[in-house]
Amino acid sequence: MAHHHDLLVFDNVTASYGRRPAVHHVSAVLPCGSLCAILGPNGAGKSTLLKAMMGWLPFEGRILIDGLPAVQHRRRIAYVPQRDGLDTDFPLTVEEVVAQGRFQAIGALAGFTAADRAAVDAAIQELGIDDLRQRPISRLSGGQLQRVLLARALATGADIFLLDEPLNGLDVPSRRELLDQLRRWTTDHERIVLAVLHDLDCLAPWFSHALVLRTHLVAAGPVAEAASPERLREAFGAEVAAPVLPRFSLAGATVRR
Amino acid sequence: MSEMFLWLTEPMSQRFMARALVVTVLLGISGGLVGSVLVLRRLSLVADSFGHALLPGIAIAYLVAGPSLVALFLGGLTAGLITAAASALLTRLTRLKEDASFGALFVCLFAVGAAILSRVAAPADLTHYLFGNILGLGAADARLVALVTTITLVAVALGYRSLLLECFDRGFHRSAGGASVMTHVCILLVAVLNLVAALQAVGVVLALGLFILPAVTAALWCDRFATQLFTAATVGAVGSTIGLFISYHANLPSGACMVGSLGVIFLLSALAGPHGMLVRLVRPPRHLTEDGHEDCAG
Repeated sequence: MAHHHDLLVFDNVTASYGRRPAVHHVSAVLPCGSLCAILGPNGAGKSTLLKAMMGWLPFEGRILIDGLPAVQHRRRIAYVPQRDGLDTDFPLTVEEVVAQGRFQAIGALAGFTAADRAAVDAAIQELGIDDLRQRPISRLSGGQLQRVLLARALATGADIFLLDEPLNGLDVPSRRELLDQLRRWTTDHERIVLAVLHDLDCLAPWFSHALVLRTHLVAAGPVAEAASPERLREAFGAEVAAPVLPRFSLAGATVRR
Repeated sequence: MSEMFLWLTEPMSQRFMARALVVTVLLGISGGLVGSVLVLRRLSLVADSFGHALLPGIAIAYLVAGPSLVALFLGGLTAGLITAAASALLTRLTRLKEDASFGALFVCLFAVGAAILSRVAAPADLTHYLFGNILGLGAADARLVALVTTITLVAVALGYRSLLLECFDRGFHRSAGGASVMTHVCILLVAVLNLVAALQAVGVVLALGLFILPAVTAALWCDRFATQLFTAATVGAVGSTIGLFISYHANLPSGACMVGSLGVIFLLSALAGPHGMLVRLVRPPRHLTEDGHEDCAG
């Protein structure tokens, strides 16, 4: 059984599309307050692992939250989809998107209670998007929209967040800002964030943990060990990782935990 | 002013016109709502294929049961469902994408339908199904339209939040415990119901105009989901009613006039609406950075 502080545990997880396993034999332990990067080349099973956590794919093995199967804690998990898939011309304001986070809790017809509105307000305040409340989402930058989606996830009341490529399409200052925010967000409130990443140079100093995949588990654990140059080379192959590694190893030296 | 009054009231002295007016308003409301969901969910082309694919179902129903309304309705519904299932199979089992599967299927079905219908029905009936004839509606047709409009209104009211999430963000809808697949099926089902209901009035080919035009018009005016639905329903009802009156006074086909009238409203909105072309030309879009936020989309 998992230790009290080890909130999220993957125990020998194998998830498959049809009969072909897409990611297999993943074991990892994530404590409260960890910001975990899920890394690996295309087709390594990064998104598959998120889908298994959401209960969208059948899997073998166990995914435990506080020692209980994740399916029993579905409301503690919030999914933050890729921004690319969203229609940003959709007729919605920032506040309306964040309010969607309460839909599951209040059902199809009931109105928002004071508590629901408070949850929406708190999420908006925490993500610092108060001045954007009434703005149509068509007039947001990529970084602002990402914060709106995070606020919606927060408004659900979850404390485990699955982010699918949150940094895609953001320029360097917005990435920094978002990563700073995620870091504070995770450590100050004992939340767990798992983020699928494409760029290795965003790892340090923000992420505390890493889960490196290449359909099988290459490494999992604190970022300095799990995402070491050797492990990344093993996952990405020498050619692909070569231009990234020098930068990463420089940045990796500054990791403080 | 009194001429205008007469222009509006004189047709109402005819029983068939009064009935046509009620049907037009109901179809306009229902079509605007369904169309908005289809447009926002990016299903408008799929709905177009549905409209065409209904024809063989109607033709076969006509062959079997004659011009019975219930039979035509069931025939159209069956054809729609078979199209949906067949294109889902094509998409899954071949390399074709969903839009291509629908596109390929609906022309085949439309051809079959046109061939069968031309053998069993009088030529007048064929153009009737292709382009509609709202002035020939019976009481049973009107009841059918009323029933479908009621179903649509209830579905939108009960499923409002599911529809919003399904259209905007299916991944989040699913993750928040929503019945994403069920919602999708319901959208298609209600769309087919409305297509069949609109068939008598405007015909297979023009039915889609009744859905899509109010929806895209509303999209050019509104920044909220709820107001967009409401506006589309209003535009649908008012626009097609104007078309109906024009059709009566100018002695032109009802379907063409209704869709044409909606088309004019749409074009004016596209030109001069708040999200239209003139605004874009006169006032170029602001840069996000001018709003005092340093981050910028990549």
